[in-house]
Amino acid sequence: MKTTTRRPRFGFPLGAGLLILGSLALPFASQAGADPLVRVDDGLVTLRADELPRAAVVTSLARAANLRLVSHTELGGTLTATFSAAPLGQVLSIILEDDSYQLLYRSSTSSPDREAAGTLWIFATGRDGAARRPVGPESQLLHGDLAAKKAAIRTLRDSGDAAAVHALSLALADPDGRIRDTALDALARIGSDAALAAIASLAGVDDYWTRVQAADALSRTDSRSAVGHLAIALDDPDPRVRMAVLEALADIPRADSIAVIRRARLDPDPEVRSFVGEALDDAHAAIALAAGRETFSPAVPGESR
Amino acid sequence: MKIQKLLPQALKGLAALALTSAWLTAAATEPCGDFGECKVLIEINSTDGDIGFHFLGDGDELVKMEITDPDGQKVFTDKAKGPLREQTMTETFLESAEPLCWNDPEADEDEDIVTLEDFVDLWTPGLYVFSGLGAEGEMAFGSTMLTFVLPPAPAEVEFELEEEDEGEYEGEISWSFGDDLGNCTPAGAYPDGVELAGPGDIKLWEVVVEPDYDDEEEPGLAAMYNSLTHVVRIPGGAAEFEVEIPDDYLGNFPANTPLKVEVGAITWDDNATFTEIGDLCVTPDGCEDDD
Repeated sequence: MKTTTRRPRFGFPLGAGLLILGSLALPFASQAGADPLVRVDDGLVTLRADELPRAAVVTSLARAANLRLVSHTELGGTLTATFSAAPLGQVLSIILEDDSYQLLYRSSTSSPDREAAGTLWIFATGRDGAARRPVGPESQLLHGDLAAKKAAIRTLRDSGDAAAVHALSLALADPDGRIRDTALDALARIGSDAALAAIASLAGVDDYWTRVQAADALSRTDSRSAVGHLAIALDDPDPRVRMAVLEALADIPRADSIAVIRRARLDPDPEVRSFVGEALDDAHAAIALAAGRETFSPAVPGESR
Repeated sequence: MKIQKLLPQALKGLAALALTSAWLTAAATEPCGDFGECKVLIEINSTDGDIGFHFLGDGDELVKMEITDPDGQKVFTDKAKGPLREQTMTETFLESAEPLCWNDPEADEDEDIVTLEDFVDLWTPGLYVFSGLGAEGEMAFGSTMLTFVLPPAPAEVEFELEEEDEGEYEGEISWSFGDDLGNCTPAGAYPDGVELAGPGDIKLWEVVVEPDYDDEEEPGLAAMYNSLTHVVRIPGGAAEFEVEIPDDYLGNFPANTPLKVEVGAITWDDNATFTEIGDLCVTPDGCEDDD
């Protein structure tokens, strides 16, 4: 068994790459029949993997444990391992090798039948250095009060680099909705592919309204990548979210968003299907208005008065 | 800033304007490109210590309106549906929430505080573009400026009752030019980009008098009287910062009607800062339970 045993460490690495392995992520487990045999009962894991991609194993494990998975590192390599009714924490420590993780369980769920039991975060704090104590805005995001957290988000937003996006993506899980909203706004304003991926990761959150907000935030950037994330979100199980996704797509003045909207003509929900026509009208209007704004020359302030 | 003062010079020639409509209908970028009127502004209540972003767009027969900020980011979209789509829209006026801008000791612990610094970080100054779409696909565009030139809170606001004839009282409200933003004044320096308006930046003063019955303790009286506001506007360059409130207005209320008064300074950019005084009364010696 090619494994390295270690104690899990906790912390937020700086400079690690963000990889979302939630419901919008690459479906590792379904690739080429690579699904390991995995079962989780009462926190005890039974798993068998034979030369399987480590990412696929972790994804399957998270799915079996009903955990939302957000990874800040690329889980490379393959894994051969067999566990029988082993504690989840112990299994994670082994298969994550040098990477740290944090496992947070929800304290309660409003609809336990479909909500994730918690979130598994994975951080690249392996051989490249032990988990460092977060500094600066990242630290404020973890330990500050409301004002300090908001200030931290502002700093991170202005930075906009990869590390900032990582930290802001963590803030999307803050227990305070005001912080989550501010972080969502910051990521939308950054608008980079990584920032949009972080927003899109909210598609794995149980609360439908959060998923609606994520769709709306994606619509604030007119990027192709936003359309791509929304195209995936159009498969959301909740028709209310799919309606919001259509509205978001209609708000993005891009021809490729129109093609995605058309897909919803086959939506299983009649209300969603009936909204497609209006969404297409709106999308065409958005394109026309955006083109008009491009050529619109605002008057010098005061001249029009 | 200066160029905007070209607008309603005629206003300065008026001694006073007594209007009953909301003040927002009186000041704006007008016309605003293809829109009849548009405006974006910051409003501060220096007494309560809260701050908000408000806007107004007035177009013709629209089915959709959008506003984008100077970064090109959409900040507002609305769309007519069903019968409203057939009827079409004209004027849209919207006020943002007005969160506290200071640590009010009486506020709930988890109350969201948006300091002036937070606020100016959230909003981008510059040209806000209004885009409208008509029922037949016709498009309308206009723009207006958001600035961080904020009028100081009117200071020394006072209300006095004077007997004109026997049993008939006229009110007089006076104030002076302020030098800060009241409870929204930052603890340290003003954030970058924020300027306190000077006397020449004030387009008009607005004085609002209204009955102030407690909604919970006296809901009937509150429902009957509280909406009966009296609004007076005078030019920013008025020689004296005072207005009279006629008995024709005050005489309509029963004795012991509680009153409150707001005085607002409004710049040429439409930004406004209000100062409020309460615990006033239409009865000269004060309301009976005032002690």
